[in-house]
Amino acid sequence: MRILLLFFLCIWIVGFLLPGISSINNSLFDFLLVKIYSTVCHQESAKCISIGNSSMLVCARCAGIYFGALISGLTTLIFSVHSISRRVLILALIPLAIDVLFTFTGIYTYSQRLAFITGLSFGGILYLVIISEFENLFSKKLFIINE
Amino acid sequence: MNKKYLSALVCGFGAAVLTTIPGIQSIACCLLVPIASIISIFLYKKSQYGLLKIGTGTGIFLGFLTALFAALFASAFELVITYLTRTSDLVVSMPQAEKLVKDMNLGPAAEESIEVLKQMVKEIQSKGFSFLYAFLITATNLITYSIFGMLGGLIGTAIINKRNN
Repeated sequence: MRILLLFFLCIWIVGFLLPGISSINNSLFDFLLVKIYSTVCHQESAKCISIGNSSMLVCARCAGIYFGALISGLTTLIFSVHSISRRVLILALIPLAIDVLFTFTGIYTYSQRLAFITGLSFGGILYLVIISEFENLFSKKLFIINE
Repeated sequence: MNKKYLSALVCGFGAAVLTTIPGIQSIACCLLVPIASIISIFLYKKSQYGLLKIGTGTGIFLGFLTALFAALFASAFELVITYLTRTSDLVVSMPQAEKLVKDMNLGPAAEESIEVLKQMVKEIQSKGFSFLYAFLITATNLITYSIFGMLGGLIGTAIINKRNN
């Protein structure tokens, strides 16, 4: 289960890194790729992290969320996951929400680094919640089948 | 109407409306559809008197439904706006893509794909509608929204059930 989720996450991450790491030059493919990620991210060029001449297809905050999830995913392959408290999830969300609020209201200017870091912590915790819920779901199903 | 579908319909429609408002997506980003799914589960629970816990499967299904409605409405809104304005982000970015292919001499595959895009742009500018464009928009929305909706459903179920505990 964990490996499968991690596999899908890796595919998703490779997808938004593709313009920077590969030289596929097909306009239709590029258009599709941009469209897919545009449904889940605003893709403002100033907020996207650049790799060489091209930039990622998601903003620094979203990239942070996905990379946070990836780090958590790799960690869960070694360590066991206990049920994550709702408070921990909310605590992880607070820095991200504050950063969004402060940049939106103009208290400070947008920083890719800060957006990435706040996304990283939230993504990591979010992935743990998802994995623990998935495992709960499947362990219950297995229990019912065994019964 | 089944209340399960009603909460998903309301939240899906709300999320689709929000995607069309400029600036909203720059705040909510990838969390828009998951948040809509979480609200949908919350509304579903409110509508079911005496329901103490929501099954994870039900939560995921509700998230999926919300995302499905959001994708359909968002695609419809985009197509209507494209029809009325006879332009879209594809039309805007087309000259840049064409220049890139010409400057970099990317070969026949790139030129073929640019021809397909040109055809779409032509149809959008003349008729306001391109079948291929509509298909691509709907398909991408359905795929990505469904994934994020189901994840939202899963997280929403966990949050709401833990709150009851």
